[in-house]
Amino acid sequence: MFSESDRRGFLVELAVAGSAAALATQIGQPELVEAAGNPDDKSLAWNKAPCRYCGTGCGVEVGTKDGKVLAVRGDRESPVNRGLLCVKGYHLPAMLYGKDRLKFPMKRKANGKGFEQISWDAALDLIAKKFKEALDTSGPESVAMYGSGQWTIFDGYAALKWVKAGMKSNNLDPNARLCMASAVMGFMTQFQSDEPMGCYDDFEIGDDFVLWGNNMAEMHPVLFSRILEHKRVNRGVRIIDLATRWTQTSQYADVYVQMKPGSDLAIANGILHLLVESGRFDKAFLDENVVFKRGIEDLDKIGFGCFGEQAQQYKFDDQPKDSSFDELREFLKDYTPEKVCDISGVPVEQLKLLADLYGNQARNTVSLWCMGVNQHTRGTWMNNLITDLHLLTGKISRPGNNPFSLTGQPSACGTAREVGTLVNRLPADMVVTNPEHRKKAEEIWGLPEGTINPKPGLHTIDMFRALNRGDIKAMWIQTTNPWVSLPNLTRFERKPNDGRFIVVSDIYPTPTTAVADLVLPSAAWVEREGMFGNTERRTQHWDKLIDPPGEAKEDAWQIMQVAKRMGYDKLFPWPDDNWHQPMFEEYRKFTLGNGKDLASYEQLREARGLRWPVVNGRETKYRYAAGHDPYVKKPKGIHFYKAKGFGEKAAFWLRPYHPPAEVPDDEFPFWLSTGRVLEHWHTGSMTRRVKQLHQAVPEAYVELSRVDADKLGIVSNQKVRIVSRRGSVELKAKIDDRGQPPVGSVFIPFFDEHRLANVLTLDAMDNISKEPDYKKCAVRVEKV
Amino acid sequence: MMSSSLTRSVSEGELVTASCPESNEWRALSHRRAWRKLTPFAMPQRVPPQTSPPSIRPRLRFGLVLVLLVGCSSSTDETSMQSVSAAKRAERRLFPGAPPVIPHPPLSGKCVTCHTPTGSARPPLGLALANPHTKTPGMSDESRCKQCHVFQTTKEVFVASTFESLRVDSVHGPRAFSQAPPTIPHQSFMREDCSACHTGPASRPEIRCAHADRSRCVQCHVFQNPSDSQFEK
Repeated sequence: MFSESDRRGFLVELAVAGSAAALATQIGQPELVEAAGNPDDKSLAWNKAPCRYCGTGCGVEVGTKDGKVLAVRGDRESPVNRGLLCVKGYHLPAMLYGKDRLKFPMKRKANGKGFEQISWDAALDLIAKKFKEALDTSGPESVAMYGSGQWTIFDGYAALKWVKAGMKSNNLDPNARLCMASAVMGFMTQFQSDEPMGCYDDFEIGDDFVLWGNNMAEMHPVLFSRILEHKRVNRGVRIIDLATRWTQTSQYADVYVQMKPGSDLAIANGILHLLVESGRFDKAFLDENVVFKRGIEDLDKIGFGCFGEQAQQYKFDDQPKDSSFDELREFLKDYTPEKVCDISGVPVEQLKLLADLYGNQARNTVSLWCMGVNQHTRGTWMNNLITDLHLLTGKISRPGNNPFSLTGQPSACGTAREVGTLVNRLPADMVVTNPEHRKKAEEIWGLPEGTINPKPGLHTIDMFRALNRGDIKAMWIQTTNPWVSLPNLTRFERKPNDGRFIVVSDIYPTPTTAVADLVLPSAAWVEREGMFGNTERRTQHWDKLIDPPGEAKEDAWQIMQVAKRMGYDKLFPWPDDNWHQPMFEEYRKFTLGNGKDLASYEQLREARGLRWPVVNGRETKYRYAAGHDPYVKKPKGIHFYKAKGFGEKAAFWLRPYHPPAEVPDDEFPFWLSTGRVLEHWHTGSMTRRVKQLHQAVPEAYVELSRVDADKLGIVSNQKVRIVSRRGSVELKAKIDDRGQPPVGSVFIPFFDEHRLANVLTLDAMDNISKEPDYKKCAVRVEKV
Repeated sequence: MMSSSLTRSVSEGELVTASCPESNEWRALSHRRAWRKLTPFAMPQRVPPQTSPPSIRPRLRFGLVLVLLVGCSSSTDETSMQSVSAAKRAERRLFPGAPPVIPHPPLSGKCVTCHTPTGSARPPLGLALANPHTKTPGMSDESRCKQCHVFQTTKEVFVASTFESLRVDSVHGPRAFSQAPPTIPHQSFMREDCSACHTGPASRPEIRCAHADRSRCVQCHVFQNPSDSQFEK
């Protein structure tokens, strides 16, 4: 093996030698032709990092010089993206350099108007004082931390310890509640262990890719490009797009299945019905690996979390009971193709086609979903039903056959789900309600028994409702922008000096920093050392490459400094100049030996990420599968060893169809769905500061169908007003643009802080995950 | 003068303006109003449907190239042309190596209809750059161009930026001595087909190859900096 300088010297010699070089550098010999991105880049230092944006976790090489990030390129060594990025990834460097980067701690002036710069010491003292005051006067339920799936593992772990071990509160929730919670509860209710069994390798092994309400071409573009390439090379590959509107993804789909909003529950049950009736299920697999369960199914008992008493607090708790295959057969009698067609608008032939592909053992089937299924008033049920399809047919934990939930944030898996920065969680699938789990955490943290609070805290929506009521006195928000992203936003309007204390750590001013009492400047991405965990369980480490601007500091540092000022120094005993590695090593103890094993710090620093469980230095592609997962002791087959509560079997849930919380009527005749666009990431606080991305999509718009536009006399780019029961917003109409909703349906992207889609949305929630439904509410369209 | 502007416009791979009468945004984005007067095929009409666009690879369209290259020999013109071309190039990408934005408005049809492996002449619009990714592993005509290349619909910015891109002043990699063939200063990945950028009238004149008929470029030009992701720590 050459060292880098040897290799370079060697090649220079070759260059001089002329023809010899020509032989050596034929295109197609990657080890020799992989050259730099531009003429100047001998002066750039190149290092690896995962992309800052979505949950795909693309590897990028970051080119730095003189303390600045000047270029990036796709990392060809990364098994995730193999050198390719999307337009957001290619424009990462500019994300750090918006002119209004926050550089100093800023405190709201006493009169409530505007901010003034203060020192870090003053800022940290103030936070410690305010949180202590709240704890002393109103107890641990009056403090809260609202974090993020964009937190690094370090940030999340520091937050977890500060809130749960320090303040003895469980009011710690991430914005992943708005995004991934239904997938979490899907996996937890079925396997008693979070995160998918499959991995990205399925994109080259699958035959049928069923996209459940998932505009993958725009939201996970690099993964979608892997499927497209697989499809080009292997002509039998099909993409089936189940959607409520025609998207960029639909253009590439082999079958486009248009369904009515929320009817996916009926469709999945309809497919199960066809499979069971025709005997296309894997009986041996079911007998060996599956138990049947059902929960509360009464619509009146469950509600939607936003009407009546539930509008203050949504506490519904499911009560599982045992079921059986015979009961399933009976249950599914309600879901004949004709009836499902009635509910969903999907033709019987398409339902049969879906049943045929799930039931065909000669073809590999991958189900993919993201926000369409998760942001759903019955999102956990829908997660359950998709996995049920795979359990029924035995198409699970096998290469090319998996239910695979895609993640929206770079470390929703690595931090929110694995570290467990959720109201009821501890690291590695453990929960605060389980005494053994609390004991294990207390042991690792060196705390007296009984320190950890056994009562789960308030999930995100209830947390902000409590803040609004004044029940929460002090809240710290990091790396997220709730005053753009919460549903039914007008509910959460906030005036300064209302007796609550809100700290916001971010890298740019946002509508959330605008309502804060104290704003802290954070270090972003490669301005600090970090680790993210992506959708396929891949933990990726990066080194600090440049200094943050001004006095910006990393989020974990901010938390630890406050914790120390509150007297919790023992929780963070590491030296100020070397705490990342010891912190990770402590966290890693939670993961070892229980199927969530993370690789060592040293190994992660070297690797382009590794998929857990990592045992003896080897990563795992397929969980629960003999020959792949080191925890499976069987010679072959599947073993759901994490599901101790189900006798180490997976739970197959019977879940009925329920209608959405709000449906169009005469007054509000249109469905509204919200979402993202390729160019902008979430609330746009980073991507909108990149010229090329902003100039591509400068503002939010509303997509209307041609038929509705003609009927209302609206042309493209005309300003219209969209009104719901909760608010209204004016934006330009787009007709026949990148997305095309069907008649009676409109779509608005939510990235634009000046045209807030979320003043329209309803704070209806999933009954189990408490994740809000951003995809279904009723609006009307008015000409301005 | 006329011919040098002609070459300039063509050399930037610009789809020359003055068609698509309904597209005001395009007009607003166009910096080349003068060109409209000069171009022989600037007529206010839409692109006629064409199943296979004419290739502009030099050997195939030699006549066209000859016409377009007239006037290119003056060195003063060449220098100014290069600086304009470099400025345009910089304007369209965040940094050297970043994917360029799409400088024309959306047109009907697929990108690869015009951006063929050789590029194509699309009167009255002008010349479409060749697609340099046709030999990239994992990419094909079926790849989604808009995954990386996006249309621009405004000239406004949300917030100003302090990002300063690297400047690239040299047009070729270092040579071992003055007569030696220049080395290749960029990554090969995504740019495997040398002829896409280095030949044809739509290529930038400063990097246009004077001997495109020699087909094996890497016989003489070698990659200069083969850092195969051995990161500097």
